[in-house]
Amino acid sequence: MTKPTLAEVTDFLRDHVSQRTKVPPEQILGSTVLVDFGLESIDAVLISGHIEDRFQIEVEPSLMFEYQTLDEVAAAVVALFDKR
Amino acid sequence: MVTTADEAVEVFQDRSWGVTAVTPYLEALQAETGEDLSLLIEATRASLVYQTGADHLMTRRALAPFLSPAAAARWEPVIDGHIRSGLARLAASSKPDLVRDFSDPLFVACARDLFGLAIPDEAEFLRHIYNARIFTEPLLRLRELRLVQDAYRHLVEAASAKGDYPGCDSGPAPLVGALARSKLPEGVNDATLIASITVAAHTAAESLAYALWGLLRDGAPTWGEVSRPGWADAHLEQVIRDYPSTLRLYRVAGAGTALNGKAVAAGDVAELDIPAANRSLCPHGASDGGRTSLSFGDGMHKCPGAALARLMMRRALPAMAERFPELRLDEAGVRIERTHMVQAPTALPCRLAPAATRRSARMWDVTEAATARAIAVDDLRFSPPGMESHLISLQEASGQDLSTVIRIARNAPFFQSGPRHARMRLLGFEALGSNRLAAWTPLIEAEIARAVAALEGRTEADLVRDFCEPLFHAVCQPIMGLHPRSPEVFNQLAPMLQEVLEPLRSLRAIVKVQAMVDTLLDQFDEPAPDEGEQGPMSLLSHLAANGREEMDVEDRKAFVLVLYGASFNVAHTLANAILDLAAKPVAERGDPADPARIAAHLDTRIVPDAASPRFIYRIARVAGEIDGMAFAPGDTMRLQLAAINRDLGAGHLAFGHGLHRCIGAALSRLLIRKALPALFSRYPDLRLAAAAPRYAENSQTVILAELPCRLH
Repeated sequence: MTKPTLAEVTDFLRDHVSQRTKVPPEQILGSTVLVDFGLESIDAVLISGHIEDRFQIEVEPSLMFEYQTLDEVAAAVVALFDKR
Repeated sequence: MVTTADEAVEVFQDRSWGVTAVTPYLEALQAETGEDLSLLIEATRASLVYQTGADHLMTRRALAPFLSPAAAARWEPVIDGHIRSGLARLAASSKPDLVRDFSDPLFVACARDLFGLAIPDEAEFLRHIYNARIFTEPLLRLRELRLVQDAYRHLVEAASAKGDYPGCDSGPAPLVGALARSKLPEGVNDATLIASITVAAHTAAESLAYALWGLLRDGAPTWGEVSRPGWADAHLEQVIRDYPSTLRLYRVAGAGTALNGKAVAAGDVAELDIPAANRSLCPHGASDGGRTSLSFGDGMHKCPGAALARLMMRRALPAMAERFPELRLDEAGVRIERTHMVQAPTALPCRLAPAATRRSARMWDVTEAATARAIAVDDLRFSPPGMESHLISLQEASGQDLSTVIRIARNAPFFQSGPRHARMRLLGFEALGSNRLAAWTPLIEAEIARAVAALEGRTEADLVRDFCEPLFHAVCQPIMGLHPRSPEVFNQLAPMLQEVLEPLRSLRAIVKVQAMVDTLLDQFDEPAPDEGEQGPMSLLSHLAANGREEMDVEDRKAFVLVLYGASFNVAHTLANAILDLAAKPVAERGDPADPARIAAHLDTRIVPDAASPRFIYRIARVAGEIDGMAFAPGDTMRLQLAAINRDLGAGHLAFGHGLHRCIGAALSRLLIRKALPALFSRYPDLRLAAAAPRYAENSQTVILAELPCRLH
């Protein structure tokens, strides 16, 4: 699997955060602190599962909480490709 | 009563006001009572606090070259060095106290190096200082005067002992050396003068401690600024003003005069309230004389040590704020002594690191022992992780069948609360509590003997694979009632049970663990009702006999498998304990072959240091706050057991505490208490082999993968 662009991962994440938290995607900005939209443990497990399926890379759910904003989580996912 | 700065300055600068005549008072007391107060009388004659006229002037001149700001500044490197060792001492203390571990030792180090006193015993020296400093209190009883005089005797000795003065060759000469070359009033010897200055100088340590209290109380709102460059220039004088350790000073009118326009007769006494006078300066900051406080007095009898005291505070406060930015007082333990004349902290217990730090958006690491213990026992505000509900909603949302891991979570006491947990806990303690274990003790002792014997004839062994693991299997499986169809398969897979504890597992990892749990559950059955087990009743049999109401057979098997997974900690803790002992030279091990010694140290040192669980997890049920740090409902509190157990010692949390206290605690303590002496009495010279012990990769538990040891 080739390394995705930051934009690709950010959009993918935004959609799934929107689905789980029922917040419209346009309200989820890059600087949004995901926990402020009530992101729960189960959301972190499911979203990281979707990232794994879509981008074929292992992602620990705790990553969704180690980083605060949408941009930071997306950047952390992209960085996993460099570590591979 | 003088309560404004202007009036106080008027008194200080009006020569008709003088210090209280203590020397004649003591001489009269001595004549009256026949009590020998000669040393005390000599001390007041030598002390700047009580001297008057020419003697006072001569003594001040003799001290000036040593106490002037320029002279004091030359001591900065020496003082900085003592501050550094004070901070190191604080960091090393398990129960740090800013007075006992910092301001008092700093004072002693300065008395040794700056004044040149010989101080072989710090604690004894401080006792003399604390006894001598009450001398300024009014109307002391005779027995108190004797106490003060005895203290002065020791201090004069300390000042007379011509020790070699470290730092003498390169740095400035200590006071003892400086005075030897200067002229003192008739009948005043330098040792007595230095002793009286040293007693007075303790006020500097009290002021430093009082300033620390002032800056750190009520959650230390401004402590963060103290380490910023230029803080001392901008704020030190204000701190000296707001937190003076001197409460009162007295002056007696030697002749008629006036104060604030009112007539004063000879013999009238002025009581100067220093905090009040300082407060009167607050609104306009510096008054006309550029004075921001009267904490060091003013006029002829102004504090001669002001420059040194300011230097010590100017260097110590920022250095401490930089080294311990999260420093907080244990406010409940603070003790401030207020006598008639002075106010000073006698105890400032503190915490050098925050009770809890935010680890991620939803997780806090709690490192402070008392805070952790409070969380562990607070079942109202905190709950165990809700693994069962998490897995149920994950199953619904993902469509993935997670019924086995849900059953595991449903039968894991550390994931349950309320009545189900209480019932499981009772059943568990009935089967694994101390009285039932008494019946298992013969088996445990026999298996320990067998495991030790299995090492016979060998010079080296891996004490994880060759001792702790086989011993753990041989003891815990029968007690749990586990008789696997294929021990190899079972023992090979079972360690993965420990991964159930890892929080926030990915769906992929959960599915993998589930498959392994299914295989393990298929490996064993409940004993048929008629098929009696020889020996005491196992946990599984106990559940079959007493737990049918709340648990079906699959629940009962899951509960046993969960407790078996948790009991791996016995093997890991035993291995860690062996490592702790084997790593020490034989002479420093405190004879681990002796069962009584092991039993005595089991909970004070062995278990707290060797316990394998890294964390206890609690989830906030409600919003709340720890030391000013706000947490939200659903936040995870991760109690860091290594740091906490080290601080708590006997009260450690290795087995948790309160409602969720470990069900296997009695079994663990029994096995470790018996296995260590058995192993070390057979192999007293047991030590680590060349290869270093290797740890397994596990974020939740301290697991030795290998412990290569030489047995002889």
